[in-house]
Amino acid sequence: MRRFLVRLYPSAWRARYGDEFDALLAARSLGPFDVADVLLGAIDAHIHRRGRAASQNRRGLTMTPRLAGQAALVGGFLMLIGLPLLTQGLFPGLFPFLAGAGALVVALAGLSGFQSRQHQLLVWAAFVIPAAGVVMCWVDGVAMLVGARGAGVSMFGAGITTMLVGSALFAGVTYRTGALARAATALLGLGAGLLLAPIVMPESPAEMGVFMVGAFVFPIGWIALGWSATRLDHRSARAPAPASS
Amino acid sequence: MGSPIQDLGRFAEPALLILVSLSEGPKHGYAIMADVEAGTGRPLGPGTLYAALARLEERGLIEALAPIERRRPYRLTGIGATNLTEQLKGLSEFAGLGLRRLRQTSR
Repeated sequence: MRRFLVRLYPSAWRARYGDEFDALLAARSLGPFDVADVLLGAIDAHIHRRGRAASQNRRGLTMTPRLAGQAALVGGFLMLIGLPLLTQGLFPGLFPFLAGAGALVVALAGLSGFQSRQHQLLVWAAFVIPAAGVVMCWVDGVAMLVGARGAGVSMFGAGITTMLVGSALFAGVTYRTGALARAATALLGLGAGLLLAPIVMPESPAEMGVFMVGAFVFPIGWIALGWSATRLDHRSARAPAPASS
Repeated sequence: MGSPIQDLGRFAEPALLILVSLSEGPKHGYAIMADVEAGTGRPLGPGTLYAALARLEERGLIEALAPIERRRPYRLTGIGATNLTEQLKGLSEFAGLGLRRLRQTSR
């Protein structure tokens, strides 16, 4: 009877779930309720064609917070090196800054997709704006590196400003969704605000001091967000060992 | 776009029960069924269990671990935990609203 019930399911489903399902049916005495329930389950599996392929295709999605978190960690560390170096002149800090910005776009994409079920438009706006800023930095930064143009800062500066405004928006939205540690999002927002302050008020006597504090807090905010995302993904892995029946 | 749990239609309730069961830690199918029955007093059929498990796995809300003998444990993913939290908060607020209204009408 048990084998017959399992064979009612499509072959792709049996390839993925058949063995464990058979073990489950073997562990209990099957009543009429169970048999009827299995028959309905088999019909459902035939209609929806669930099985190995579907589950394997979806596997990558579960990795998104971890990968995005790792990208945020890398991006944050590179920014921690690149941002202070940018104050010494454009070129020493340009490599780590551009590499860090690239990593942050990956982090933004993953962390936005992860949160997009809540406040969908806001979350995507919070991805698009900083990502646009990073692209502007990349285009102008690479042009400067290959000597296609001099070290003008107009587009590069606009790119940094856009990236910071977008990062602040991203921090605000992430704080609102509560999907990641709020302390980390607050740090990111504070760091972006501190870096924007000298741009908004360039003649302030404390300009360099505020920038340097921001150049430390902003990357730390990204590192904390990345840590929060990777911890979120690992939380289930730290759960107790499987329960026995 | 609704909650991925609510999007499961008639499997939304079994899926929620499974996620709550897995929030305690990884469990295989039989342990989930026993836990749900102990918690709700209602049996969860094996066909319904695996139809819901397949949907939850496809959506990345749970993931399968390496089988132990022939039993494969499942665990909640980070996304699953976040969605379960949202869902339970929503249900808690709805229950609170209902209870407040009942208290008001009974005065």
